[in-house]
Amino acid sequence: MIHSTGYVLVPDVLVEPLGDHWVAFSPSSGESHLINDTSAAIVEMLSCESALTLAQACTALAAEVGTLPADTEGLVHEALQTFVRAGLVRAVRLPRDTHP
Amino acid sequence: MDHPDLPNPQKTSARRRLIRGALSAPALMTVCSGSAFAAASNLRCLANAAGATTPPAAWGTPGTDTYLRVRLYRVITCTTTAPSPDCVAQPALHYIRGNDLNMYVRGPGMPTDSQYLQIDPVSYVTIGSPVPIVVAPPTITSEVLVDQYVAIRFDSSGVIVGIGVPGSGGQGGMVGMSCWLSAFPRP
Repeated sequence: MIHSTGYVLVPDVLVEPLGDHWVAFSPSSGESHLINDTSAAIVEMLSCESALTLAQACTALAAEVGTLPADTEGLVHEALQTFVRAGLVRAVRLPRDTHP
Repeated sequence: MDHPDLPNPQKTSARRRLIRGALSAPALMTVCSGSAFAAASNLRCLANAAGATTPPAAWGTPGTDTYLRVRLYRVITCTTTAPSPDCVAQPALHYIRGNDLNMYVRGPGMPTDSQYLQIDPVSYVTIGSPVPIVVAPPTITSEVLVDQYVAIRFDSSGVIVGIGVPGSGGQGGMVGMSCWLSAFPRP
């Protein structure tokens, strides 16, 4: 079966505003991260239960800022990879037919 | 029935902070934990020592040697000589405790968890073999944990080959002159 990649939030990740920025704590790594509005918005779109594909995340972010999803793809992809390395987000395999 | 508007306790939304038509690059900076700062501080003191002095001559096999900073114990032995029952305190001796090395793979002849290894505060080398500290008459021994540290040096086989020596060109002089050593007089 062909699979695609989805992204879910690591359980119990905490994100709180701190001045003009945000602080995200990952219980899996035990580290805290200072993130900007764009990063926090992407984290906010994700949930622990339902995985979001890159395309879905791009569409959601583009709708927030009024741009085309294709214009956000590079940013969102980079952000998700960074979040996975930071222990904030987990990549999961999805059946391609259920998540286009 | 109409409900009056109540204050909305909803959390601040990151998405609402986004500016339409202007999306900045996502950024993430990891905030160092306290333990990471502490580790960096330990290494910093060695780096400062290295920058301030001429590195010592190689001793043993430096590429595979490892330093471990451990606490020092001062042991006072009290002996009696018949027929006098009076206890005569002997000069304090300095030991490192095997239990403090539990995270380290120990080689042959190194103290077990219940043993101690004596350190000479003058020559800065180990003395004899590991011994148990016995708290029992007629030899009364008291163990005192002192708030001082030594940097012991293991070779690749896990054997202690020396400790940091203050003012010496060899035997871990670099470490001995750093803040890793607080037990003995420093130059």
